[in-house]
Amino acid sequence: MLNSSSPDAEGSALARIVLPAFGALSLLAVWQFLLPWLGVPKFIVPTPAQVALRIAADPYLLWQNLLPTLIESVCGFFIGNIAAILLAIAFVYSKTVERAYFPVVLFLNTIPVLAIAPIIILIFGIGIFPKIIIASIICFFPTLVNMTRGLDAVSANERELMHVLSASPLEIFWKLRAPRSLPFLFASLRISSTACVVGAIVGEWIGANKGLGALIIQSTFNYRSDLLYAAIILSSSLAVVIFIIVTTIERRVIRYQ
Amino acid sequence: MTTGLQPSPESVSTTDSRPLAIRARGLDVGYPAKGGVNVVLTGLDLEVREGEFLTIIGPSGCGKSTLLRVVADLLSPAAGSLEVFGDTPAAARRRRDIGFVFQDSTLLPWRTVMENLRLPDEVGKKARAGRPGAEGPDAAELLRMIGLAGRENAYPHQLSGGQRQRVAIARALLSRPRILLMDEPFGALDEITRDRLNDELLGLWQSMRMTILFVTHSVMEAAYLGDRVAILASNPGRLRELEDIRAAKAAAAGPIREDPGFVRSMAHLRAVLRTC
Repeated sequence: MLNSSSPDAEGSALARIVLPAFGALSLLAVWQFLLPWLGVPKFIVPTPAQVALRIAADPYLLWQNLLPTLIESVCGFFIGNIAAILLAIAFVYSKTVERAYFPVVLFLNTIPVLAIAPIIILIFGIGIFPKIIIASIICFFPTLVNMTRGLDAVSANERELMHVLSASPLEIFWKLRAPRSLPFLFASLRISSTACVVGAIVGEWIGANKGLGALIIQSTFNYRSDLLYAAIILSSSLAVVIFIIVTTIERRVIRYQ
Repeated sequence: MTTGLQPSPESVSTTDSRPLAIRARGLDVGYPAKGGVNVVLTGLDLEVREGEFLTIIGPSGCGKSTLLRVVADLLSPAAGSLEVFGDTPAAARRRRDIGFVFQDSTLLPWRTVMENLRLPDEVGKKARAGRPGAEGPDAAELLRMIGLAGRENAYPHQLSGGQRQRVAIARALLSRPRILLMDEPFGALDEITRDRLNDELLGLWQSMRMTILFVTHSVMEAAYLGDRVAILASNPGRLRELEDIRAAKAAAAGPIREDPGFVRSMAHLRAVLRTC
């Protein structure tokens, strides 16, 4: 019905929660019953029930491997983004610094993280620290580019307004440039909230004996596919949780629009 | 009524003993351009008395906005001088003698109405240090004066264009400037809203007694608001004529906008504008 609004609201609740849940459950059901019927062995692809049983049976093993990945992702997220914000501020206030270093940074950005990871492991060994660096490198570039644009997204009239009010450079930064840049910053934080987990796991693939990345590699070689799938589910859950935290903070901070 | 092609400030000063707010002498303004300087304003002589409402009109590129920007210390003269209360524009700006209203309201979208109004109190502390704060209506009172009491927590995007411009004017008035510079502030509004805001602005001007320089593209607006109308010509920008319009409006019997004497003044302004 076009003219009734309340069924419309119910329709949106249905569309937002019930339908996606039905979609996911239906695919899981197909997966659960189709694979045994096709004769795919458990060590190649486990059923969802087998994965769930593995998670229930080995919570300590999974937690032991989740924790390092969590620390690496979160530390990398903070270090990479803070470094990018600081460099963006330097770029905005010194065009000389920007002209000298922005092209270099853009070139470095083209190197795939899979190629950088071995270099970092080679330099810093196989502890937790090199993984943090790899995760922070992945977070660094989108935030640098977005933050530089955001801090510069100030209109001529806004600049003139601040001048007429005799605002100091510091006041212009905190009252104008910084709040202007926030939507740009959060756009890149959303990207790096999931990318930092990718960085940590890639680092663990190259050389680690702990972490979800290491668990993924080990369980693949040992044909423990139920454990492999459990590790994958945990790593994407980790990324989803960080993403939700970032978007929740974004909604609190950016209340306009 | 007309002071002639060559405006003579002396003839104004004999009839007006108020102190000078703005005094421009042989003012040239230009932008650096390829192969020299792009002259925007040249040889401008102008005196504005304290408390006067001067409207400025002229074709595009005549330097209307440029003149406001020199007064606000946003541009520097290439030659000649411009004094604000006998001082440099920079000194006047630091004293908060200047308020500026732009064509787009330039409200900060992440701030509520009240937070936008208070911006002048939050910045420029260093420049204002040691100077007594100007007395005047506070933010809540200004909000009531512009008819937006109760909307202090609204964000700019929740307001209409006219309401946003009212907030921009109130923000400019918060630091109680002695000179209010307005660069086509109602240019983007519909005619009904514009007429209403013109009357509200006259009310604010009469109650707060500041000097106003008001740039507009509308002959009606220029004549309706101004004590005097400055007509600028373009290529290069220069002062063409200063038209004192007070007598015509004082003589009006009914609504000013329909008064025959006022309409004749507008016809004269249009005739001069055609030659600019």
